[in-house]
Amino acid sequence: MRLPISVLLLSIWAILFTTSYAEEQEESKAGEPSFISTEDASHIISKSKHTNNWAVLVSTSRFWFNYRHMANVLSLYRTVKRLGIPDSQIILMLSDDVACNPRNAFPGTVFNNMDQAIDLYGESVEVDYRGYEVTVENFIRLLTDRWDPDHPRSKRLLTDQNSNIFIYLTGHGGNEFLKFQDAEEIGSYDIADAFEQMYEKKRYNEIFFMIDTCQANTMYERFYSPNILAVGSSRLDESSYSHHSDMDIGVAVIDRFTYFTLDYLEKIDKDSQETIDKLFDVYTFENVHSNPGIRTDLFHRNVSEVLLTDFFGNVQNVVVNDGDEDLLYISNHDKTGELLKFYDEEPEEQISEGIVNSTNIKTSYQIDFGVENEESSDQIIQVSPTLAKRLGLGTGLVVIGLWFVST
Amino acid sequence: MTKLNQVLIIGGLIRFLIPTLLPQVVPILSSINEISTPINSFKSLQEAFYYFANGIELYDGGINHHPPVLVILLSFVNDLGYPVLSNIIFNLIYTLCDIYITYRLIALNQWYHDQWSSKSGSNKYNDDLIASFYLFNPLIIVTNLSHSTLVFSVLFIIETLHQLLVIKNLPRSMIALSIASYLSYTPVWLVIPLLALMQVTNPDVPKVEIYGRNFGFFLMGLMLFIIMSFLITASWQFFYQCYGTIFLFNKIQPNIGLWWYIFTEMFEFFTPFYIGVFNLYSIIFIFPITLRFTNDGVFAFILSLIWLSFTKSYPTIGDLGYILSILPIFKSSFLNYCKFSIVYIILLIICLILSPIFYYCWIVLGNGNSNFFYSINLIWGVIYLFIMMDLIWAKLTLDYIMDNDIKDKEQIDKLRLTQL
Amino acid sequence: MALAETISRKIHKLGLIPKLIKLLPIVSLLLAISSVSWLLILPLEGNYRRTYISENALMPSQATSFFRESEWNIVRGYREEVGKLEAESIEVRNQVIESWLHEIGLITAYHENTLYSIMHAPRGDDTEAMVLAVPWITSDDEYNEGAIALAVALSRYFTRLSIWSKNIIVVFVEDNKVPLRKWVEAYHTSLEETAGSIEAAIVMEYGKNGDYFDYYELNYEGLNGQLPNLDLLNTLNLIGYHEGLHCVIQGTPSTELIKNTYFTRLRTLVRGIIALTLTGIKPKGQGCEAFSGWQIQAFTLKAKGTTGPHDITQFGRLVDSTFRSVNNLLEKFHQSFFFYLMLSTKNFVSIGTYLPSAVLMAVSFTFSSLGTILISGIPLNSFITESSKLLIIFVSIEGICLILALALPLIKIDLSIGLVVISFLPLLLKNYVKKLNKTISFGLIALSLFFISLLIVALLIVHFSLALLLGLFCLPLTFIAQPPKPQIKTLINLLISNPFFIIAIFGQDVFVGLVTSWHDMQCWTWFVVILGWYSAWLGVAIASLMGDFTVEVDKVKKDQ
Repeated sequence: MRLPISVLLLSIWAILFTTSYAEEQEESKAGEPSFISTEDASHIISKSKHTNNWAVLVSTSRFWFNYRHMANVLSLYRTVKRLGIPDSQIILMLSDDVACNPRNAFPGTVFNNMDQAIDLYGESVEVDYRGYEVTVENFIRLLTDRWDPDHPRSKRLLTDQNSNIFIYLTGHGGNEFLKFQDAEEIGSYDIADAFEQMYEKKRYNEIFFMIDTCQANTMYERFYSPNILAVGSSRLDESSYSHHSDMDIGVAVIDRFTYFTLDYLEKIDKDSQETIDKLFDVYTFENVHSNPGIRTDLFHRNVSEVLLTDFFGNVQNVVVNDGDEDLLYISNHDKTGELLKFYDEEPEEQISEGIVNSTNIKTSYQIDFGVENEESSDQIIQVSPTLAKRLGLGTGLVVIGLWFVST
Repeated sequence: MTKLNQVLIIGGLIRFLIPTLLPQVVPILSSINEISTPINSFKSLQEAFYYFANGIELYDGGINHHPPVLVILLSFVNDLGYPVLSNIIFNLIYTLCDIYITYRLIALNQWYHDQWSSKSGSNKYNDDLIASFYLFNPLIIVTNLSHSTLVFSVLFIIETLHQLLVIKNLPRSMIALSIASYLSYTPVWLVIPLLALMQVTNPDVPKVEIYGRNFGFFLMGLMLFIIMSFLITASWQFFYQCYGTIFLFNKIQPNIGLWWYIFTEMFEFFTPFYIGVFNLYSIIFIFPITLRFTNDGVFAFILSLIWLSFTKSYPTIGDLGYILSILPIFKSSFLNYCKFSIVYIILLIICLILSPIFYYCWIVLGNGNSNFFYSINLIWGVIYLFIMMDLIWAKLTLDYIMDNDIKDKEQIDKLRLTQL
Repeated sequence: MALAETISRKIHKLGLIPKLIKLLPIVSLLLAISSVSWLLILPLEGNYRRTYISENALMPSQATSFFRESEWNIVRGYREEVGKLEAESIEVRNQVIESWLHEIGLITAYHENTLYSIMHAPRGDDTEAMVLAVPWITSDDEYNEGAIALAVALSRYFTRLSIWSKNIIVVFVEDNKVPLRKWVEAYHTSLEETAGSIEAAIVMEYGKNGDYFDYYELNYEGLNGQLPNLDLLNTLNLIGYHEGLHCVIQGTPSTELIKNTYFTRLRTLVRGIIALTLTGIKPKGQGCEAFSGWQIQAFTLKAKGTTGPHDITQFGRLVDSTFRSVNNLLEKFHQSFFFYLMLSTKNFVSIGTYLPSAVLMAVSFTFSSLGTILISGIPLNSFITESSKLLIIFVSIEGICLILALALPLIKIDLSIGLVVISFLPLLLKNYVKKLNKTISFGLIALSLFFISLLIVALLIVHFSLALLLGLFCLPLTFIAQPPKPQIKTLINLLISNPFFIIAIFGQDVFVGLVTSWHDMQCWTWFVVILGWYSAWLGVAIASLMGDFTVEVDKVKKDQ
């Protein structure tokens, strides 16, 4: 009696499984574009179902001796831009006190390698939160998008449920905390709760969380929201190391973990089909000199199916050939080959006129000591010194009187 | 000339001549943070005089924490037109305050002796000794020379006791206490042991009448001052600056107390909670002390005073000095049973030596840090605790002797009590 | 309290207190011995620490220094010119140097005969500065031509670097004791051309060694027991190590450059303590003590030897790299230790480890003082009644010492022997003056010993070396108080603990250096010696020579 029933259940299960599998195949087939083969399309259109990519890149340290954290973040910024994410979808948080630091032998530059091949700070770096704006509060607000209504859009993480977000943190950390600038810390529970809020508000499709600090793996241990893939550079009670110093600049210029990440990512371009587990293979103890950790239990896909461009690049539903340069040329030059101008050259005078004509400027006035001109005085009425003196004397006399009267 | 008069004259001369002949003593001492705190320093009082004379709001700058009536009454002295004369009159005022306190202490000593000598069989210290304990106490001399307004507060506290016990005029003692509370916030809690003391010294009068009536007087005095201050300054800012600063510990400056170090590094989230806890700690022990030691109400009062000084937010070395000078009146009862005085005397000397040295190392040389200085503050607190423990134990010993009516001196010497 | 009572009862039962009281002098001696042996234990393995860099921002030796062969010729050129100035007066010398500095493009100014130049960091904040000081005569009385040339060459080199965040001041001073101190004082008070607060200072001494030197010596003691932040010294050592240079401290001979045994560590420790006590007092200063008291971390570098293999540019690179490291800082030095004792260039002990030594010494004196009172057999109450008289005597002794303290500095001759003799005046007066009564005699000795104990407590942290040496030298005073003793022993004990006797032993110049140290260098050791040590000594001397010490036969011990 039991055997037939079990066979029946098994067959039902098998049918369900195959039909669902077939449905999946159907769906993927349904989105078939018409100008490329199905196979190619199914490779390009990632299985993660996201429609846009965002990146949040944070360096939590400041001061000259933390040059390498700045270089870490700027290197990833450059990579992520190169792979297609536009500035409008990158939130960059830096203290930004390194490029123009007097101690910088090459002012206005930030290098991540002693060969000084790439100047990370050269052009078009858009820092969203600089200096002392990089705080724990701002970071959490950024993730959960809880701002005052007048907070500018360019500084907000305007993600939706179809966004894949790449979050990168670097700085000085410890056991379940990360030090933010001078006197603050963020805890692993804080980030975990922020991610949960994001999940409930449907603000992400998938998150790739990368952190390069000492004892980094402790920071992702507390996550409990789905669809988060996390990578840390070192275990509990382990430090993360810098890779090398530039003897001309006089500081360490890049950390090991980020160096090898970049080393690998430099070989990737926009339409690469490389999966993320190849990146994880680079994180060996010989390379990084610490034990990096990967957390996949919250992530619903297998890492061997996750493309690098799912997080580092931007979504593209088309395959573009290398017509970039032609397009750029066409858009910037007119038919005769002249460079087009996009700005007027008259703005300054207009602005200055505006200021002069403005009626909002307060005329200055004499500042006297005294209560007449005080605007924010707490006094209800003005009490002149003589009156005050009389009152004071009166109080004293009253008290003395009471003294002698009492028995 | 009797010895007492000699002592009084020398004590008075020290307090009068030194600042008159060396006027720079006052500002120097006034800037030493062990001696005067922002709450009671003479420098801020002078600042308040200037504000008052120029019609600026007294509490605008956040520097002045003296109550308005005090500022106004003393400004009469300051505005005489001749700074030298004003300074001399200030010196005279402070000297007279100390001499007045000395007389009151002598009278208190006499009263206490009359109360207790029959029961305990001890002698009292002579009048001149009491006077010299007070007038030649270096902590008090230094506080007086710095013209700190703590002197006035203590004056009225001693006057409170004197009026109650010697002259037996209850309303006056309450008025004196209200003045003391008005001048600095801490004595307001002494009303509790004082009411108990009143009840004990007037056992015939019904309880309700004593408590109700006298508390009413106290409140009336306080209200009078506060309302007059409100009228004088036409705002409630004085309340916040004078008492709010002390209660809420707004100015975190190093002093010889225990509060400042803890609040320096505290997250703002926790600060209100700990302010509440510290203030509660300061207040809550007054009740059990009063209840336990009602048979010697003066002792309860002094013990409360010690406790309040220990847990003050802005203490000075003068606080301990005044307490040490009041303690000799207990010779009539239990001071003989104090056993550990050598310990806290040595600790006191060490603290007094090391505290300015560590402050200098911290601020001027940059060698030391705040931990050095705070460690001495902790030892200063320990001195207070040792004094309290010693006094309480001595008192309990005396109670035991009196309860069991032990008259034999040999037996008393061999007495070893244990706590169960 | 109950616990105290239980213990107290136990003690009474066992009759411990009388026994303890009898043993107090021995306990006091044992404590003093343990205080010294504590120091002897420190150089053993495991009791000291290796030096390390506390402040991450320093990053010593991370930047290449370009002060190399290309600059060597420039140094040689300047050195030859400086060599010609040896016979000239200071005014001519200053003029020549000033002309060179102007060629380089630096602002110069004078303070008396001291010339100094300021390089404002082109991209810096202009709020902080580093100082390079070179005296014309080294502390070994040699013409400092190498260092002067290096200083000018380094100035030229510094102006070509753009990475400075702090200003650099180069000071050319006649010698490294009083003129340098005066310059530092003037900089912080009256000088017009200044460059912000000084964070670090290096004093260079490189005599006529020529192009090559063997190793360098580091001096770091400041006035009044102050030491520079250990991070600065560690930075220098690390830089020297990367350059392959050997460093010595506390006059270690050249044959023991890499020797690190218990004996060398102990020797360095003891020499360090003595050197710290004598800073500001010796006739020849080291240079770095001139910067004490203004929160400036300073040290002196001296090149030794002439055979090499290290060249003068390496010495220059030491300075350059140290300045680069200090340049990296945003805050004042605060991370590492300010109170330490070096056992070798790579080993040290911090205050937590060596402080018990001085505490034991102070406690030893307190016990000795208590022992004096309790053994005398005189009841406590009589001490209390005589206390006012005791205080008057002690205050008058202090008064005499105060007069001496103010008068002696005006007479700049070595009077130490004379003063030793005068100190024994009470011996003569003994026969003409009534003997002091017993209470006063014992009380005065006890008070003096307690005063020494308090003095040691006061100096414990601020000037550990002085506290320790004071305790050691005053130790014979504790042997006096146990009567009956033959007169000769008392006299010997008094003699060897007399401050002026000790000064006379130290050497001739020490007395003059000591009495002038306050005026010249703001060093308060003289006041400690005369108002602390000498007054206590006088108290004990007067009491023991003019007092009555017969002890009562029946020693009724009364517990307190």
